[in-house]
Amino acid sequence: MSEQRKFKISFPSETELVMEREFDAPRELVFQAHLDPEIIPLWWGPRAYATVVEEMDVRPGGKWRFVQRGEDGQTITFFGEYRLISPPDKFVNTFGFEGMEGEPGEEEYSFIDLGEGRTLLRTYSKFKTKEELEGILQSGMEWGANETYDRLEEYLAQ
Amino acid sequence: MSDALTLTFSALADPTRRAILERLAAGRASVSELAAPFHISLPAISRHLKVLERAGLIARGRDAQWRPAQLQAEPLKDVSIWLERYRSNWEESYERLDEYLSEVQKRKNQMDKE
Repeated sequence: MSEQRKFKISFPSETELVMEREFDAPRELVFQAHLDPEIIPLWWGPRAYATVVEEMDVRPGGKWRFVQRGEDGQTITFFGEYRLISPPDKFVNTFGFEGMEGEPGEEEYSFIDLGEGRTLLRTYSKFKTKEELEGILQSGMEWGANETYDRLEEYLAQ
Repeated sequence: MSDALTLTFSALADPTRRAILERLAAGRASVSELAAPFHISLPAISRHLKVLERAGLIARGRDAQWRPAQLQAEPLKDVSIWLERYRSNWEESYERLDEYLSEVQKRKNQMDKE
């Protein structure tokens, strides 16, 4: 199971971001893992960060707020609002983080049944401006250094 | 966000152009060498190269006959580091989700058997 899974990030335009990932599980389970406050801390975010669900009101208009604390005590807070909940194939929320520029963008999560107990998760994010999309990519930089980053820097330094 | 970075970002938004950059990471190449793996025409590849050149991601040789393209890593650095970090954060989360999903299904199978 350790082989590289298909994981794709693409940009249909300057203000849109699409991520695709397959899972060896039925979509009801994958869907539930995204909207259950007891399951979120088990997987959401890099391993070096402990995620605490401070608020998770899963209904249209309900707010969510996750705080991640690193081993060094540094915290990052992510937040947003649920817009649409349609189990087991779709939900929509907004996604922002504290310190970001602009407003939280909207994300649409689609859970596509591939048969044989497999699911394709497609996350479609739409931003008002390309700066907001770039800001979300930069949010990843808030996390501490990791090996992938070091390797990439080495490669680019060549 | 600087305009130069935005230009870089748009240039990177196309899968063919990203593939061209990956190829160039292995060394400089001519237009026909770059076109070889793709099912698109030489003029189309040339158009992609122009976009990459405008974004400062590649440089072209002066020789009119053979204008090899060469990767210019500098503008690529910021955007690709963000993107790589963003990708690795999500990939790590999804690996953890794989573990959870596999665990929960194992437990369910055991309960079904009992």
